[in-house]
Amino acid sequence: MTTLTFRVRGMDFSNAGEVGAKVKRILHQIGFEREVTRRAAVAAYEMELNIVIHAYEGEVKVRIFDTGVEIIAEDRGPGIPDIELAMQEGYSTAPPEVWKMGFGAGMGLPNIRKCSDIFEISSEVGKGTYVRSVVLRG
Amino acid sequence: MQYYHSVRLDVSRCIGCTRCIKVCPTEAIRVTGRRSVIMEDRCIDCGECFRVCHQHAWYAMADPLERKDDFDISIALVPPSFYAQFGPEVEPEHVVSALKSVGFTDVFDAAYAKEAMTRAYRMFMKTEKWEAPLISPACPAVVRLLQVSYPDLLGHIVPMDSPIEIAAKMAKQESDAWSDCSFRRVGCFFITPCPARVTAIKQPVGGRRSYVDGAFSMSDIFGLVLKKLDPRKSEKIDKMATGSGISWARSGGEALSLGTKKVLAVDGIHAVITVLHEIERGKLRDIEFIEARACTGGCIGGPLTVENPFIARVRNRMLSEHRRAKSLAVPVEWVEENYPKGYFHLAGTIPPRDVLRMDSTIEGALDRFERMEALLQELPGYDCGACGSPTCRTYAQDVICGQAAEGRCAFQSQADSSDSGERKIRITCRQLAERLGFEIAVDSESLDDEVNGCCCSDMLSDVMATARRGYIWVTVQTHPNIVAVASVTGVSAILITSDRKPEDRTLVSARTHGVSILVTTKSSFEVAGRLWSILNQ
Repeated sequence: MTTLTFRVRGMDFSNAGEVGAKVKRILHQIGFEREVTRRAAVAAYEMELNIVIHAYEGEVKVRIFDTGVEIIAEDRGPGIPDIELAMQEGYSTAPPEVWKMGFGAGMGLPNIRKCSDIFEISSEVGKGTYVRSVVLRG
Repeated sequence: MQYYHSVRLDVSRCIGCTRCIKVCPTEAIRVTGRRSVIMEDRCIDCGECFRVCHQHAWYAMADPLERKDDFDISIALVPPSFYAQFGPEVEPEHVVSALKSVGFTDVFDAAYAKEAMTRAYRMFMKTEKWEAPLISPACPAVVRLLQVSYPDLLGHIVPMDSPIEIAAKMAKQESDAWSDCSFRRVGCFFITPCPARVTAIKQPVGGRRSYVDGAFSMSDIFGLVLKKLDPRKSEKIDKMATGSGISWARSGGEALSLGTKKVLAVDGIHAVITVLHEIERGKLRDIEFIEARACTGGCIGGPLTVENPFIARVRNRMLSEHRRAKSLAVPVEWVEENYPKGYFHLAGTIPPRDVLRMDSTIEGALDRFERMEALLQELPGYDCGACGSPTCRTYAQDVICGQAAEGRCAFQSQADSSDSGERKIRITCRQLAERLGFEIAVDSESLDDEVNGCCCSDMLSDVMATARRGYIWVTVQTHPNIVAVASVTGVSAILITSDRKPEDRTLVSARTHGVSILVTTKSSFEVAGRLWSILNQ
């Protein structure tokens, strides 16, 4: 089992997407099936972007097992008041300047859930959000 | 799988300088035993190594000109980048005539096939399902870069043959049509600006045989044509491209020809990588087509060209503007007729090369990955290349995968020499002081420690970074702060050189903290030399 930790800063758009790309590269190196790699990379990417867009700072932790990948994102940020609403496709609270950059389509969380075999989310308003995704092989 | 490579190394010229390992976009080169070694499955024949090599050890292997004599009819496929090698007074028609004097039976304008490609792209985008952004299949080094480093993006490449293949196909069919003796052998030869195209002809992606029978280096043909150029001799060919096809020689030409604004042109292999990286990060979905060229400036910047690429760019632009036309030379009906027959489509798919995997099993790869990360922590991260691998990360991977010996890092071995137990001599600080005549100013227990290294510096932060337990610290500093540094780093003794006297406060502080101080009239330089020779006996 290998653990990788990536620190992510809020509004740091110049590095946004780095975690997803790195996770993808590493899973390629390890030799995971293309589909597993794709799903894990998308989940990692969306979690990273959620921190960049919504939070002040956070961490994406990736644990790689021979059976699959676990990705946990924890941030210090405003939190999500209504998780059920946030899970709906197309619902977004991203500010307009973020839309202009092509982000904030409201697909982030639904995308992570779609890619995950196990998906968990919890949030406390004013404190932060915790998202866990597990992508299993075969 | 065996890979053909046109970029080769003349071992007798290579001095192992590491220039090439740093520029290789796929990290395919290592230096071992004082010479470069190429990893065949990673090399994409872009020729970056070839450009930076001062020794001219890297070279491009093209075909000898005599190869055309194996055929009854030899057709020169001339790319528009070739026209840009000559002065402004030289027209393509002069070049055609000169090529025939050199011995080619006929000449085919490759830019004409590029115009056919433009029409085929438009049909593809209109009639087939595709995922944005599409990536041009025209640059063979870029296609191979994707196979090696960006396998997930292979699906973005327009699944068509390269324009050079299409040109050869068109040239051969036309030749069959006018030649009354179809049993005669027709050979198509490309005048190439780059080694990657040579490779693409010898070993096309997808495995099918190339329509091109050989490739001649543009720099070789240039001299021959130059000699035969005659301002009075010019010959028109009927299938000559307009400005649009001609402009493909420079970066941006192919993208512009599509007539849509949602295009991006990028040139220079390292710049191409930054764009591919963006696509991997999920960006550029608003771009329909990406023209990526490995060479700076486009094909006119190819490693086998002769003219300065910026000058060639101007020539190419002037020629394409001069020959600008309302519609492309290739009739739309011809493309509409042939496109559905699969005339342009690639026979097979482009497979990934799968060179990234660290082990054949997941368990093995995970284990290796972990060990690599651990080793990486010990390396300095300077990416200096002195070990023979381009970066610390690749070196760590090479070691873990058994492709490089351990202990080749100059910095790691320096730092570790104290712990590695490789030292031959065992000597205490007190014995050293006696042997070299150092005076003991403050005597404490640490003088009986075994000396295992030396730090020679007057900059405290540097000492903090390099000194370790068991070291002697050689300095000219005398103020009390040195005691704090000595006690934090755990050195066995401070040796003050050049006959300087420690301040009283320094002596008091040293006694209370149990730090030993030695003094000598000798300079730091001399002391360091003597310590070095004793400790490395």
